[in-house]
Amino acid sequence: MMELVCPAGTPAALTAAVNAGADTIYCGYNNCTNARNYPGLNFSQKEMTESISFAHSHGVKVLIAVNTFPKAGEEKYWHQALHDAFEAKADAVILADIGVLDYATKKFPKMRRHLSVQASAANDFSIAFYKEHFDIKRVVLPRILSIEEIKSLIDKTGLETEVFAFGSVGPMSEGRCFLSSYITGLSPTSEGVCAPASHVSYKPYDNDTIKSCLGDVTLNHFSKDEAAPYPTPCKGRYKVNSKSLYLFEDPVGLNAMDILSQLRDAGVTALKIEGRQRSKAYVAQTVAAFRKALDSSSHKSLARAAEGGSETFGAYKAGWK
Amino acid sequence: MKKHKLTLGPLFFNWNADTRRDFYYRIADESLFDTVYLGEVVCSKREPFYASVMPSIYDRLLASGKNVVVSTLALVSSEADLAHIKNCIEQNTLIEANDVACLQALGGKTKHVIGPFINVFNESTLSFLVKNGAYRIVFPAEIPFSSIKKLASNKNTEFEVQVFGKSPLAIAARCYHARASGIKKHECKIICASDEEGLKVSSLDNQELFSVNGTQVLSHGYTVLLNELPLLQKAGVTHFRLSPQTVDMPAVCRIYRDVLDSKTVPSEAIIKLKKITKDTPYINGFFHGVAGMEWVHIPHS
Amino acid sequence: MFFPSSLATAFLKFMPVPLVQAVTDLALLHIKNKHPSLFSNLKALPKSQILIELSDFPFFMLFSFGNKADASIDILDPLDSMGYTTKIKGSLETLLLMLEGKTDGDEEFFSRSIQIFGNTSSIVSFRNVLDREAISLYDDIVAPLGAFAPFVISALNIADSSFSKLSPMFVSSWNDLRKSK
Repeated sequence: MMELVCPAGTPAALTAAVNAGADTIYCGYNNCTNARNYPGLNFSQKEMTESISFAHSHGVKVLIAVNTFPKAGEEKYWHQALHDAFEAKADAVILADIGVLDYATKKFPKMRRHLSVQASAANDFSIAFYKEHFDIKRVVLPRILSIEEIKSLIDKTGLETEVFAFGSVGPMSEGRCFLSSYITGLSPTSEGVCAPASHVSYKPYDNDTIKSCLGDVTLNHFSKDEAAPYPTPCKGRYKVNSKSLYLFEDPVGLNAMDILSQLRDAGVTALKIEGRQRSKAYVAQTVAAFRKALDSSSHKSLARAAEGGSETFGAYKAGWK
Repeated sequence: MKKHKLTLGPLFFNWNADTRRDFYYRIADESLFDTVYLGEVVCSKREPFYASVMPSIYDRLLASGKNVVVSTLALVSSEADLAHIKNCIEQNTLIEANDVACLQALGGKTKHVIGPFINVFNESTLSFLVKNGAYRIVFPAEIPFSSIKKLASNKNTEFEVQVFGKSPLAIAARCYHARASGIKKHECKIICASDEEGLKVSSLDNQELFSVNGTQVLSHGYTVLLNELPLLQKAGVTHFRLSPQTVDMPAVCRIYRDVLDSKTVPSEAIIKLKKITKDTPYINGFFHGVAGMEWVHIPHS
Repeated sequence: MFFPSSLATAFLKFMPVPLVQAVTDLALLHIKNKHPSLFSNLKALPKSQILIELSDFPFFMLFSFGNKADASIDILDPLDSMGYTTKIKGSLETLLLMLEGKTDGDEEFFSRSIQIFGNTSSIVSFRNVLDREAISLYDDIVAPLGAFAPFVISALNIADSSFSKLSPMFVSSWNDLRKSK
């Protein structure tokens, strides 16, 4: 049975996830040490310790994401996050930066290390590098791999794998996408934000149309009846050769609900639901749906909760590229 | 021995074999570059189309006294990509690693360059990679000067910064050139070859934003760090990268050389550069810790 | 226990603005008493104002918080509603369901049942702070309404399709309330 790994942006969402049947929760501290660093979100050390204790009492594991890349001179915040994670008795930390991985390996050799999707390890050589140098036990796979490629990776590396099964999909190689910082000055690499709300605005364009903007850049025009996507640069609608299109990615959410058995047969260890920035209502709904799907063969539609109100298998089916 | 070297970064765009040969022969014969990076960084599907001219380009550059480093793929996500990396390593001594797969293939034994697609933002990462065999670090496009200043003071390592050309912003497994034409990557017909500086991407309100080059997204404008050269020199940066564009690269190289040698002041150099680059806007936001697409003017004393 | 939002809608539509303001202030006070941490978290945010346009009402609400001040809601005439940089538009029912955490704000946004205008920063901050709480408007507001309850009940038209979304627990307690008056 695959492990169900669920997001929690707040202690309330963590409780919701535990109650809805999560096997494992992932979360982060309320600073730039993780890639969902939004105002009002994430955990203080007090909240983290209490939440981990609560989760453990229900047999649920907790992973702490410390998966951004420290700027020069600022590594102490990431080191502190690792110390705190150790004190709070986290079951593992999810890391991406080579320097942070090195520090964690030396200072906390017994604290389990997972490789974040922000390390963009999409092949067996990269994964072997992180395994040899930092003894990672699990790799969160980039969303660009097909099921065949995932199976091949698992066979070659022998490591646990965690794949995204639901939520917002980014098409770029994670951890080195500078589109957000190109437009706003803030990035998921260093600041842990992509298209932060501080730079997002919606303006009426004409009677029927609304314009979404990131900074001064127009990301989309959409009519009153059209579903509204996340205002990230990769989901923008652009003009290329006089045509307007969703050039990088369609405004859809990933949903691998219908291919769970194929992922399981490929040897995937864990399914990851994206959405630490989503509400506890979203967490409860999606976790319950995946719990039910994993426990039985039926599933309820999650289309409305998905980004843009519609879903895709993403890369898992070949032909996405 | 020059303290501050000019390098020609790897060509991102898919120019045809003849264009490449002519371009690099001119670089060999007429330019002041100290080091030239050759090799396919973006898409392994392209290489067979120009592989035939690469040995002669390589030889011509070496014969002209330039150092040659072979750059490798930024994103390794298939068996073909991995085979490409291994092949580069087998055939060449000086390698620029742009994906951690390449580091694994090098095995920590061979001295190599860390390219801008491997994140080096802090001291510990720098230290680890140097211990692992890196003798030169090319900083990622996003890094602000405040970080460069702290890292480049290390005198035992060489540091390189891209100071001219479209900045690489993202790389993907999906091909955006193909997608813009409504086709899939596996049947792409190498259409990226039709845009010598990438395909322009604008917002719906006609703001010029990006250039798409196959699986890569670049800035629309040229990063120009002429005003910032003296600061970079003082901070300990040893190598200054000009990324190949369709403009007269030997002439651009001379402009930068003169500023590095204090023969021209940056403000005059920018005027000269404008004559070569014509309408392409300049950007330098990442250096200054603001939005990458911005131009920050710094007054001169 | 579900807040009878359809009941509130019917109730508020017939009330003059000063009375709506009084009821809103009272409701806010009750929520504050039950959820002091929500209000102290709001104080810690930057100064923010969110204009709320209720699609089923003739007035606007201005929700102000942050910068160490007490949160407040002002009922505004549409003529006074210009010049605010952040606006959210939706039905009272949807907004109340979001307030209670019974529906996901992003989902309502994707499906266009709510619309957002202007800068989203304060809405996102408020949403994240709010999501930490377990707000039950019934417990926080309806019970204390006390004396208004009979007026409310007699004003309401029971045939409301939104009832089908409400929990059996609410329907049963609603029926109890009717029986008791």
